[in-house]
Amino acid sequence: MTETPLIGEYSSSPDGTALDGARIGVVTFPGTLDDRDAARAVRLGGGTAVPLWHADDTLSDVDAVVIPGGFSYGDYLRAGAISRFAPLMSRITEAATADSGSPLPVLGICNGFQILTEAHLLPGSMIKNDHLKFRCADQVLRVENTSTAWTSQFTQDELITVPLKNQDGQYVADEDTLTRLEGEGLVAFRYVGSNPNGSRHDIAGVTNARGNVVGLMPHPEHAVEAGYGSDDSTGMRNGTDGLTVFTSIISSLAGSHSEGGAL
Amino acid sequence: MSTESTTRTAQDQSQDPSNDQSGHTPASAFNIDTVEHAAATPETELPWAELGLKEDEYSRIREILGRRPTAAELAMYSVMWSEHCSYKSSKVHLRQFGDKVTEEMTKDLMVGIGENAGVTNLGDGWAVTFKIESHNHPSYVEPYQGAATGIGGIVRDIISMGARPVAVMDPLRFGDIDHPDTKRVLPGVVSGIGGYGNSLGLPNIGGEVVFDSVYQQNPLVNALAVGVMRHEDIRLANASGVGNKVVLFGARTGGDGIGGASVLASESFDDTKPSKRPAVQVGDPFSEKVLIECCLELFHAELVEGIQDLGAAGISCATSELASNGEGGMHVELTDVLLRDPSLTPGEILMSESQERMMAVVTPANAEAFEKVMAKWGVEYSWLGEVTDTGRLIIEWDGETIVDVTRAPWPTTAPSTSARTTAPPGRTSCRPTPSAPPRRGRTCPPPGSSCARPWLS
Amino acid sequence: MPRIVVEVMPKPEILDPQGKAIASALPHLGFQDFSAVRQGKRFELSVDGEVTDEALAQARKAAEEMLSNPVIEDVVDVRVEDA
Repeated sequence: MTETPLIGEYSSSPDGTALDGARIGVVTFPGTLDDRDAARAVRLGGGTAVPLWHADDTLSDVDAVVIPGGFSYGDYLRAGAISRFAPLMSRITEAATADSGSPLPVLGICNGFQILTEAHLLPGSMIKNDHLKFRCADQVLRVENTSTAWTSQFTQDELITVPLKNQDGQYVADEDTLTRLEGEGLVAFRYVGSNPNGSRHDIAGVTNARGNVVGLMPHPEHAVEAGYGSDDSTGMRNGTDGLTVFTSIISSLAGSHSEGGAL
Repeated sequence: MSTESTTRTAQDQSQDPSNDQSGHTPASAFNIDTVEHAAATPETELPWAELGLKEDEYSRIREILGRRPTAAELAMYSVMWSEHCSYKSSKVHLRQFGDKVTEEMTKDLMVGIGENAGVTNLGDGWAVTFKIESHNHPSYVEPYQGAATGIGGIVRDIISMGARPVAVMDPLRFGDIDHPDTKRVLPGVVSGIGGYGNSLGLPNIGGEVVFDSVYQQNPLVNALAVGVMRHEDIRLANASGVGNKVVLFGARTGGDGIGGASVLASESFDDTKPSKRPAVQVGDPFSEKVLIECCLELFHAELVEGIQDLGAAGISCATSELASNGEGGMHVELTDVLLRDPSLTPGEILMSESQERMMAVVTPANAEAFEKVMAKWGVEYSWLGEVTDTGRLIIEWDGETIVDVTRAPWPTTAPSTSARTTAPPGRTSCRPTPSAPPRRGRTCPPPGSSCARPWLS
Repeated sequence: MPRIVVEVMPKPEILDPQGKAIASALPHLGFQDFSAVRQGKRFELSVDGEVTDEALAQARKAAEEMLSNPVIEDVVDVRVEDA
């Protein structure tokens, strides 16, 4: 099916820059909902979106992977519980935890975050919101770690607004884990204002120690295009704070590419 | 996509021959009422009244067929001529849509009455398709699942037009706001619509609600779905092309929606049958989401001639609609239907309203590619028959003909009935007149108020 | 402390989407021996002191009227367990 035309000029990265080479895989499971939005965000950020199918046994030479939101396998058992066993997830886990070279950058959004925790790529887990209801609203976050592959273009403690939509979004972990996350600065995003779901320590997103794997419950891919994002001071739906997540990874990759070229 | 993994899945599928898997009761267990048998036994009493048919309607069926209907044909007529399918009492009102339409109104109309959903031109090569449908009674019985399956049904109509669904809406009518029954029904309906839509990634973008005692015990639960597509992606469901294959795919067929039709047990030798039939249908939004992607992929790869959703009256309706929209006839073997409940009789299989099912017409050349798409998405399917040039819809059970009717559009042949209209007690008009006066300090706003209603979405 | 365990299952004739999704995933993970899965709910009602006949009767009533939706679910067991 033909895609809705891109609005705005975000995708026009200057010809010949390293940006054009960035191939970002976007994973689709049966029941994934936001894969098209994630692919669009990748293109708006200046990269090339590469569709990846859960049953594939290869990463198709992508430079990074986004696992988008939705209800993989209906999430009937537990969110992400079945998806973590997909063949592609084994390849992603291997590449993301590779000892040598640069590990594969992986971003999990919402259901993707849940899958990453079920796959033990990130600590903790998600349970039902404390109010037990589905909630969909713009959410203010503070970016607390700008050294990850997916947050490098944010400024430290920058406040951003992106949509949050879930029913199972309450981040939980045992006290030791929470202490370690806080001590090592592994909280990537934190809810600002009222905690929307009871998450421990207001945690909205976390990163692994190497900064290549990041997961968050809110949806940066839904705030990448003026007119279709979150509300901001310039007008309704004008917020594009989420786009920085995608420009971050592309510039991170460009950085590692040029380093690679220099060697 | 890796072809290796696709092939492996396809092989897995082929190791499960659908006939063995379907778990059908052997044909010998049923007292099959064949066409031949029906012709030879004109005096056999059939439970037409229990199936909701009127005496003149039953006479009309005998007249059309030139004999008594078989049990399976009776089952089909009863559902095809039900108000749900034929709009026999409301078509006198619905006709106004045809009568009052002006050229100005239809200048952007691309697909109109008679198809699964209407299509309007948006310009720049884009079109929008939308459909609204009620699911009133099921929602009254089991509010969450009733409303949820209502969304499922219209979304499948949107898919069958070739469009990607993008949003849902819900205009609702409930009884008096203070009535306990409203309290029972409303929360389930609202969360059923939102929950099912959300599981498909479809936001509920709007709706409206009126509370009035005239809707007591008869709430109106309307669900609307919107889809967008390119002009060239518009598809119409029809079964043209003699020799093309008919395939049923999606969820298995269970006893859903035929609770009232247990009289068809007369088809069966076994006194203990039928086993219990579900009082309500349960929706499976995950299966529906997979169906959306699967159908869009089939359309995109041009692997199907047409796709018809299975709504009310299930296989009865889908086979007759596909056949009557096309030019030929259709021949179907009913024992090839994959079943969730092996105790179903042929008539019950034809009437079942099990959700998340689709029927497609596929050329023999595309059959293998079609199966690959099914394997990729993990969707079960079974080949049921083919398009013929006989001009008749023929359905067999293990090789015996149990339905043999002309392919004339069934629902439109239903006799019209005119429903009596009576104003509710104390009212002078049949129009609802929301009477709850605005009261201060209410959390639930009275009808017509412009208060925010976030609790409704 | 003793507790009353209530188990609720979807009615056999009703579609169970949860069980269906799990059943179709099991073979892919190497679990080949199961032909069907149905997913139900287990409730644990704790009681202070002994479980009296009255408490058990109340649990049965709660199971029928609140813990289950009689339209789509059956209460398959109400029993006392020592915690």
